Parts: sequence; C-alpha cells; structure tokens
Amino acid sequence: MRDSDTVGRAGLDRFGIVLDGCPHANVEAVVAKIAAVVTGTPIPCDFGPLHVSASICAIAFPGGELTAHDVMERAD
Amino acid sequence: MRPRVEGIPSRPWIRGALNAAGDVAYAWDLASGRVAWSTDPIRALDLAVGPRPDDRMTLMGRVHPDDLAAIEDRLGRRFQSAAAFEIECRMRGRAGSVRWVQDRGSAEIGPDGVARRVCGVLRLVTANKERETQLERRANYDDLTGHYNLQRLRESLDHALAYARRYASTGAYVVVAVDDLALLGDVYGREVADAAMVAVSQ
Repeated sequence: MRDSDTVGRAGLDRFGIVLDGCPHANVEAVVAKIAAVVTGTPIPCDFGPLHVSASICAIAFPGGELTAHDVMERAD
Repeated sequence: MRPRVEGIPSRPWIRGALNAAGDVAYAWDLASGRVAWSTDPIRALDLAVGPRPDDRMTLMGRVHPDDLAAIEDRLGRRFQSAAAFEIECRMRGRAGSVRWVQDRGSAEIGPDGVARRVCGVLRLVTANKERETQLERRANYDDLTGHYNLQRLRESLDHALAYARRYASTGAYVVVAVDDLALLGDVYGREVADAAMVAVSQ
C-alpha cells in the first residue's frame, strides 16, 4: 500500500481501497498481491490457524461512473 | 497577604458558586502582567504542580507548546476590542497528563482605546473534549478495524474521481470481500469473524 491509498470498511465483510493516481496497467498486479497476502496469511485463533480467501473486484477510473456511489455499487 | 486585584469577587457566595462549578475566575492586569485568581488554579484545574501562575509568563509556561502560538495570536487580536472571547487550549496536568481548559472572557478597554485588563473564567473541559474526540472518531472511522468508515471511504473515492477527471489522471477502486465471513461467524463465533476482518484489513 502507498500513502496515497485509502482503505475503508465498505460493508460487513468487505473493505474498499481507493488507489489514487494508480496507472491502469498496475491494477491487476495490485489485486493479485492483495489476493496472495489474504490467502497466504493464516489468522491465528483458538481453533488453530485459519485460512480465509477473499473475492476481489477492481474498477478503474475515470470510466462510465460519475459518483463514488455508482462505482461502489458496481464493485459490490 | 497577596495583593488583591480589583474585580475578583470578594462576596463569599460568588466565590462559593465558582468553586461549586469548578470554575476559576481571573483578572489579568495587562500593564503589570499580574494575574489574580478567585481560587488556586493549580488545584482547581488539577494542573501540574509548580509555582502559582501569578503572572502571564508563568501562566503561558503551562500551556501545551502546540497551542501557544495560536493563543498568543488570538489573544493579541481579541484585546483590540471588548468583544467576548472563547479559547480552548491544553495545559500540563499532573503526571504528564493533559488538561483541556476553556477560557472565556473579555478585555476592558480604557478611554484611550487601549486594553487595560482581561477578566474571564477558566473551566476544565477535558471530559467534554475526550467525548468530542471519540464522537469524531466514531463519525469517521470503523470501530473494529480503525480504517475509514463507509461514509469517509465514499468521500475519499469521490475526491479521487473528481481529481482523475480534472487532471486526466487514473486510479482504481478495489473491493476486497472476505469469503464466507457469515459462515465463519456461525461456526467459530463472532470474535473469530472480527479477528479475520482485522487481519485482512492489515
């Protein structure tokens, strides 16, 4: 993550990340990296290390969407 | 006997009312720099132990360094008129703690238009300030993970969208949804589901 990136809770089970000024060519690599970190990092709990996976969706902008609401809705 | 400064309430019931409210009245003579108090401000405001701030320098020495410049600036401007002012600043409390003090008062302007004296009341507002900070945090951040909440995330995305359009720059919005979080919660309990969200957020 870079300092210019913003992370927020986008829902009960999800986070949203705003990659400000990120070239479109780099988005795929970022998504792959996040996926690798999430699946490769077991979560310690009383029942032993827990492996979780995540579904990741990225929307590059500017595109057709005008507002953050539109972008978030489409991403969800 | 401490030299009394005119204007400090001498009627016992006024002093009693101030003490009951936890307030400290002061009269600050601008020519001499002397400050007179209705009661000991160190005890009443629970400030760091030290010499009683009976002059301006000692008083300002107790103000948090980060608030000093703003206070000097505001006080300098306010004393050009008799308008009431309200300032909040941090002062050094005991054992390195921070006390939020609210200062409300006004200057008395002489016939020549020069401020003679500033009178006001100091009140401890640390608890209010902490509540305010907590509310502000709640309004902007997610309790569990400490990241932005939905509202702030949306604002951040809106800014990024506007910026990208205006300056022909690019960006992306990525959603990371933890798979089967509800199931995780059902099987292992809410705490494990929360822990998973915290771990993923990091």
